Amino acid sequence: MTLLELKSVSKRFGDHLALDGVNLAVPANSRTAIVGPSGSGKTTVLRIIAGFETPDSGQVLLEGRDLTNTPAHRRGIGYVAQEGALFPHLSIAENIGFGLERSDPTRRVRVTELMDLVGLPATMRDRRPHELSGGQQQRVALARALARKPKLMLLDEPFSALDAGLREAMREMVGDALRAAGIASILVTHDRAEALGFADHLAVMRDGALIQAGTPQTLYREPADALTARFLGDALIIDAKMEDGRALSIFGPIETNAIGANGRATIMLRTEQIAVTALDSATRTNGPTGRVLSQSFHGARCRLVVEAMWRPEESGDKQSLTLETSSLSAPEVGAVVRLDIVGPAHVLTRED
Amino acid sequence: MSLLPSATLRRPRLRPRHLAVTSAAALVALLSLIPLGFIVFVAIDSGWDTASAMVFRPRVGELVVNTLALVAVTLPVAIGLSVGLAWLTERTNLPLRRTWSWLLVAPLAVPAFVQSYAWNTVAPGLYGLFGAALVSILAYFPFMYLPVAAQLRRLDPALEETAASLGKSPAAIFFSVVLPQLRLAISGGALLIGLHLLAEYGLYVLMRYDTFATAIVDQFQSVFNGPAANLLGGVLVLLCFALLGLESFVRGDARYARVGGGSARSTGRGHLGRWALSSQLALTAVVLLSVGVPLYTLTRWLVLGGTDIWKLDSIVPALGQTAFLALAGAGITIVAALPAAWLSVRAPSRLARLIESSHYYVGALPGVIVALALVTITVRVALPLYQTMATLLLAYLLMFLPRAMVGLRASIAQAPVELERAAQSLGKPPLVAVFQTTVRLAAPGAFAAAALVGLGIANELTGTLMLAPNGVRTLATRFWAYTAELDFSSAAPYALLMVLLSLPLVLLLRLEADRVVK
Repeated sequence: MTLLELKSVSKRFGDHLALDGVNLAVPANSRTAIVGPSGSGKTTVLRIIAGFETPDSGQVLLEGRDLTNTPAHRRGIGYVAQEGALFPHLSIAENIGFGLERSDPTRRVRVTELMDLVGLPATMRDRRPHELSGGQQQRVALARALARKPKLMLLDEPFSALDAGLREAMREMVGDALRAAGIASILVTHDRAEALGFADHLAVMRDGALIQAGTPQTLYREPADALTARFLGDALIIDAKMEDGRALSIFGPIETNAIGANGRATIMLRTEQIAVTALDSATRTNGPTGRVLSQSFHGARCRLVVEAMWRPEESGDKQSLTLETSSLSAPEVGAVVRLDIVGPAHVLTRED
Repeated sequence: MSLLPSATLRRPRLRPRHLAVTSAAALVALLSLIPLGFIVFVAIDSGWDTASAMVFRPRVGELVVNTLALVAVTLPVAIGLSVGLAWLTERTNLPLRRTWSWLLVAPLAVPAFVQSYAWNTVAPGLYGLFGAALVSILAYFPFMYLPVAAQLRRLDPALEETAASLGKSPAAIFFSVVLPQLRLAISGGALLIGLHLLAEYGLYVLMRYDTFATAIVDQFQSVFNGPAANLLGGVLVLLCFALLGLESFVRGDARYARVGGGSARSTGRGHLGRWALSSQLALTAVVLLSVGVPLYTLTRWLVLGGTDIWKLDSIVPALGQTAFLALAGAGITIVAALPAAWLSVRAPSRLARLIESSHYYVGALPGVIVALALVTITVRVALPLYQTMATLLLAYLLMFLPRAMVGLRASIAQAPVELERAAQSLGKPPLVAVFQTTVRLAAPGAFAAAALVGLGIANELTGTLMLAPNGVRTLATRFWAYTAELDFSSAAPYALLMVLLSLPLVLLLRLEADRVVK
């Protein structure tokens, strides 16, 4: 069931086209992440959903109801700003209870429950926002937004100001709290790890357009274009010639997901799809090989730059690739290695 | 082994840097205590019987009621007016809002007693509490409009957006989120206006409204150096303390800085819709009353007077002397206010609060009290300083310390202490670090404060009348002499020059307000 729907939403700021006909559907109870580089329009999408900006054209529908011209305070959509935006003149309890009616007799109890839910000790009730750490401030901001039990929660890079260790813990806490409350959420972020770790639904934006939306797995394995592929993870992008659905490249013929295709193409492989094994002189292989040009140690993993070749005596094709391997069995610089491809390649573009 | 032995956890009461700054601030505070010390001296000198006989009498009660009524009528209207005007120019899509925000600062170029002189001409029937309050509001509201507008522009829009996402209507957001953030600007502006109401003399003479200030000058003129004026001054000092206490109570421990860095997104502007026309009319009315009336009156007298009123042999020296006094006075006042302003933001303590209070209180004394104190002290203790430029500049310093303090305090509050610490960690000695970070960041605010002080000095009347060395006649004293003789036409060129001289300062102030935001 679709909770929120954007229908060809466009927005212009002066000469700059911030959003160009964006369509987006957010399923109920889902956790959607909108990712993209800065300036891609992802924050504008969030602000239009919240009602802080009005689109020049297009529609915003919540449960089928047109919200496009509804002011922010009547939308019932929760919002957590980048750095929490706590009211500096109010105590923590007053901040959390801000959206509740003053006369509500359950107000005090609700605030205590919410503080408990986001993991804030009750002793913080009367503190002022500036006495809290960044992570605690974000917890307050979340509790405050949860107080009104919105159907949808918008999170505008709420973890970006936190340090790395805290960020992950906060992400899990927020995810758990939202799931427990049965609230769908949209997270805007430029951090792919954050997006992949949080979302069950991913939307990639660039230059004011929605490039691709779907499950994180789909987008990771079958990105729409090279930029998206690289944005979501380490990718090898290789020229190839298609022959009946198989790609001929520096790796020799490999399986792809474009069944029966022919002609020139660009294919993508994820780094982890290539297994690197050192070859001793006795062993022979028909598969693709390469020579290690450099090696750098990254703890569990080791990063290699490998010059890959496929029957150099025939085509002379060579390409330098950055690959990864377990640092336990990392080959030395200069070693010849066997490159085994796991799973099909994804065809990015094709000319028939 | 513990890296932090428990002994070092207990901070010494004063760090060395604080000690140096505190000493400097205390020195200025002592200087500013001269007038109060003088009044205490007079009270003791004249004895309890004389003092109580002069203080507890119906006349004084009348003055207290008059002064409080003036404050009680003027301040709420000035607050409402300034917040409303600031909202219109900063937060709506009002056409010509840039021009309007300039015009709303323009009344600062018209001295209060010139404003009063203009209203005397236009509406001779206007006097008493209503007249006094009206002219006071028109003359002083920019002192409130400027900080409120600046604060409105500085507000983090995320706060209002978050409040909207929590279901608050625009009106509820204004009262529960915006207004509390304006508290510091409003209470600071109200204090400044309140102090002017207590100290102003010329305006209320022309409006025939007796306040403590006018009564003290009357006493002084009838009985030179008499205890009556000084004891009335003592009551006025108590009123001023009450105002300071009230401001301190209202300001509370409100935090100036926003929590976290926040994204400095510019705030959206509301659509006026059907209110567009009435907003334009309201602004037109305010500007016509505060700037239009003085301009009209001046033009009228200048046209009526023709070329006869332009006596250059007295106008040119008056102009030069006024400019010199304004520049020199502004410079020394800022330097003198700096230590206490820094202390009150960075190292607030009971002592700092006391020092700050003594800086503020002195500005609430009418010029005549400061002047009288300095006259008596120079005559009795340091005769060579009697009626010298040095004494006159000291009087200006004492009178305008509060203006310098308000501006400096706000601008230092803008410069985060972390920068100073960073500079120190990069090897700068403490005082160098302060100069290279806070002083540089606060400099624009300091210039704005200096402009306010210079503006005040250029238009200062009473103290100058009493303390000016022989031959020093400023524009204000010349203007007042002609006005006292009801020669409104001859006074006009001086009024015009005072206005023109104040224009660059107003310009500076307004540009500063823009810069703070960028």
